[in-house]
Amino acid sequence: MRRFFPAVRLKELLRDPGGIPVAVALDQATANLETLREPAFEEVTRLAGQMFAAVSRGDREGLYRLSNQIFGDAAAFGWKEISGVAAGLCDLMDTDVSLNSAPVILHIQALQVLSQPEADQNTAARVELLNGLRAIARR
Amino acid sequence: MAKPSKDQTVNLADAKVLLLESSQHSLDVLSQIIFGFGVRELFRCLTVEEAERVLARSSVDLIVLNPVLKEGDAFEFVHKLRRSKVEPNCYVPIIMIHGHVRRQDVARMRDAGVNFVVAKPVTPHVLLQRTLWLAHDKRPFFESEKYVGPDRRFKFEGPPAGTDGRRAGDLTTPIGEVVEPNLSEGELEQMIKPQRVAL
Repeated sequence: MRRFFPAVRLKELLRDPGGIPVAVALDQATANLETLREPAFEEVTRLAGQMFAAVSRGDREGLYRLSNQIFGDAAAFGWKEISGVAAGLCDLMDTDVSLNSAPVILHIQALQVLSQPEADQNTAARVELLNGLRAIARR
Repeated sequence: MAKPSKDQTVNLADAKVLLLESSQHSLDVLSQIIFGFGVRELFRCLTVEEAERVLARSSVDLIVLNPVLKEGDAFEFVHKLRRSKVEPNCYVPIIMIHGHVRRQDVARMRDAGVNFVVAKPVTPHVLLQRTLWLAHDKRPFFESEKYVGPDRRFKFEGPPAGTDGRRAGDLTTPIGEVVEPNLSEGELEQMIKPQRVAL
């Protein structure tokens, strides 16, 4: 076994004087990210719309990738309900639960409701679906 | 490793960064964060094949990648890169960012040979913090039959009590006074645990 310290250019660059203050870098990055908020929601809606097709194909891996993608996109913008449901669906895909089972279907339905532009107004449907998911999670 | 202070500066204008993500949208998100840090040269890849083509013609200074890709195996990509002996790319710092982690991938993630594993959501603060940590990362690089990459241990407290250890670098007990703070549980957890949200 070999143990050594290779030369890494990034270390030298990061130690170079100059550059921009950390606060400015963070502000710039945050402002840049904010320009993608609307496209991100459209992307989540698009991905959620593909989920039942994955179920029909019996594509477990595809459904996992879709839910993982939604989890990452929603979490980046603080959409906690969506990211929570997507994480739950990822957990389900990591078991041997059938794609046609009630928990999977309920998660997909919840994602499709939550990712609609008018989701904020559709309170009754949201509450019903999330209560249903909590009941499943408790079992 | 401490949080970056507001007085600190970051100089990434000449850094070349390769991103490998699972979708165009995810690439856009990462790119906007990295551009905000002052990076001017970014290689954006959606497949392992694209990333390998970039590395064949350019040296890069940082790789940020997602283990779940549409095409190709990201773990295999890192495994192959670390063993390629093509300098300097084989030693390039790699940050792996993940959403959900499957049970089958936990060990793969630990043994991949990356420098840091970051759980989503990837905020600008977390990504910049990890990038700055790379400047002060004192861990050696290991090359062995089973593992090539930075030392997977973040703190080193010596071998178990009553033994002399098996590694050449193992210290004999007692190990002496602490010279720098260990990573807190929260910092360790942030590195490896996916974010969960209670319903």
